[in-house]
Amino acid sequence: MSIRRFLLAGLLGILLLSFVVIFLFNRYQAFVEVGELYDAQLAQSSRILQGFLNRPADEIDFDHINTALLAATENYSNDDTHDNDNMRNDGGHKYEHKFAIQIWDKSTNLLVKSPSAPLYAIADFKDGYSIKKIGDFNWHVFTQHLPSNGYWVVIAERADIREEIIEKLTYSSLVGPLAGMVFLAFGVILVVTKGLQPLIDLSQQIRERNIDKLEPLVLEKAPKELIPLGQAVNLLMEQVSQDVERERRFLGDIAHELRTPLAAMKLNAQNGLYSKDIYSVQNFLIKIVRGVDRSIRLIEQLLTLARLDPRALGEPETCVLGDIAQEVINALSPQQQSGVHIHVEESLFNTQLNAYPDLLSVMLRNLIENASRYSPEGGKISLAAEQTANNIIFALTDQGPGVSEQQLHSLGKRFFRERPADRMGSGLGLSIVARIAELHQAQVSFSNAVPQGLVVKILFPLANANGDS
Amino acid sequence: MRLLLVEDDLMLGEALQDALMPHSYVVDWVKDGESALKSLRREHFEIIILDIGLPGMDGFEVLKKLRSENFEVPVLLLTARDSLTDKVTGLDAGADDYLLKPFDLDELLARLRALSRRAAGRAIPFINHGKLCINPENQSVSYDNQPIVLARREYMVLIKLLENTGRVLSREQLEQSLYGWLDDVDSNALEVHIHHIRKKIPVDLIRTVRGVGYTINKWNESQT
Repeated sequence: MSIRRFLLAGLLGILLLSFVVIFLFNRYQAFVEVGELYDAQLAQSSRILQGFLNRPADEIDFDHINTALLAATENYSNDDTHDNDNMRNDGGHKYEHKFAIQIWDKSTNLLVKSPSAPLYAIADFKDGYSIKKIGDFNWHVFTQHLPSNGYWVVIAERADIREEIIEKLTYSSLVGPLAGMVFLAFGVILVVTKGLQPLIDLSQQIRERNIDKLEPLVLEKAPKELIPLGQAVNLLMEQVSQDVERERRFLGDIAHELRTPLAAMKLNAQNGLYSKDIYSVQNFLIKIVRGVDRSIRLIEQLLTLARLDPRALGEPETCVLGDIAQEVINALSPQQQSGVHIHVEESLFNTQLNAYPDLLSVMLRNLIENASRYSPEGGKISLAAEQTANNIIFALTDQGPGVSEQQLHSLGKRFFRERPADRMGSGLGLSIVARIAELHQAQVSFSNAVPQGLVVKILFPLANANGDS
Repeated sequence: MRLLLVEDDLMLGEALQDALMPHSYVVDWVKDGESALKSLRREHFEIIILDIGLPGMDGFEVLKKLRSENFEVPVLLLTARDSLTDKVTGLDAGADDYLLKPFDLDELLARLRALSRRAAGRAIPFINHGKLCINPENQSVSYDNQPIVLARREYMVLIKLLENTGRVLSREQLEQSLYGWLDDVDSNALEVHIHHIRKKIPVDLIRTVRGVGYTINKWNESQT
């Protein structure tokens, strides 16, 4: 739907409609006024005749009257050939011949008639106005009875005169309004076009934006009705551009994380190619395999992160933290389990959560793997849970080196490693943990343990916990 | 040639070390920016390979810092990001070249050679000194078109002296360019290398400046 088309069609339609109303009203008005005027004229003419006739019959000079009638309508029988002349040259009028007069005596004998009148009675002998059809024309007839001698005066006037006059009056009265309407129509078009210009400007501005060019719309010249819209668009674009920026940075991080092992593998492959003895070739092959393993792990972690899409999760279920932890620990490779002692406290088996069990297990696996990677030989990793009034707190403590105070806040960021990449981590483990926590409205915090080690705490809100079952 | 490698990734760092050693580079490897700056302040390196994605202080910061401390050593940046801004930022921060990971070993070596050539003020890839001709690309040495086989460290001493003709290089300067932190240095190892070079090249190029060090005179045509 086009606002412009709607406004133009609506306004011009209303204009047209008002014009039709004005037209009909004018026509009706003309019809009433002209009718009254002509009726009055008929009556008056009749009274003038009456003045001559209202006396005893022998005193009336019919010849005189006849001559007068003849003179009045001379040469103007019912032919319309002179209709185009508005005025006759002798001072008469073209409409004159469209009158007819009959005078009858009391026994209804025709005494006198104008040449335009027929020989039979135009109307019934009855006082007042009537409309009769004679020949092809309608006539307005005024009949009057003279009480003194019982004569009837019948004066008739052809209806088309009135119609013509009504028509002319109607149309001439419309010229002004019509001119006004045309002016108004142009005005409406102009105002609507001008009024919609800011909208067109704004959409042009929006059209110029794309994913690489998300700068805010310029709203200085926008009318105040459009400013909230513009601001909403600006806000949206800001969010999108932040998202795009974040995605871009993430892609950059991925590129970095994937390209580094690739660079190492390629170098090792070329080193192997340039080596002259089989032992160093084997040595380089081993390094390549390690690089491949690392890339595989990284890609799996990336896929895990990508699959953490809240729309694909389904419904949360009641989970026992201890059961999930035990499953994760059982699934660890002997290599990951060797050298560390993982202790699951009893409290974990008494803690129920309303959560996504698959995600919880990914989260616990990442935390445990992370802890075991940084644990010293024979180190202990302990998992505990605690329920407070509002939260369920899960805590994992290792005996690794911990991290410096300033690094504590960087934990959980993508590709951040606690130490230079001396260990084989992808740098994604804790950001997966952070993402899963976010999906559970839980909060992750890190602190250093005493005397040494890292404590990861995850605070699940109790609204999400299944405390009452 | 003494090279400082700044790379936090264990695997890549190790691979680079393995790759560069056979090509007459003495590689010292640090894993973060602070250690890189410390090493630079302590010792002389002829070239630096610097990774951008370092923990803590990143490669750009290290680069800016070392340039602000007036180290003119050529720097080759390693970057995993192919965005233009990264390259521009790197070059503007004072890098001499950059390489996108993953890279080809031959390209890396060629770029390193180009960097040391430029640092020595040479445009042609060969080093000529009279009838002596050295091609750094395959580390071949010839005299009067007769190939000469030099050991790795002998080659390094010769190159170092030839790139600084007319200047006397001290024992320490030569030793620093020959030995990394992990190498054991015999007290008279340098003399042994120089002795071998003198035996293998028909003319005696290397002049001993007693109590100071060694030098090779600038070549001029009258010497033939």
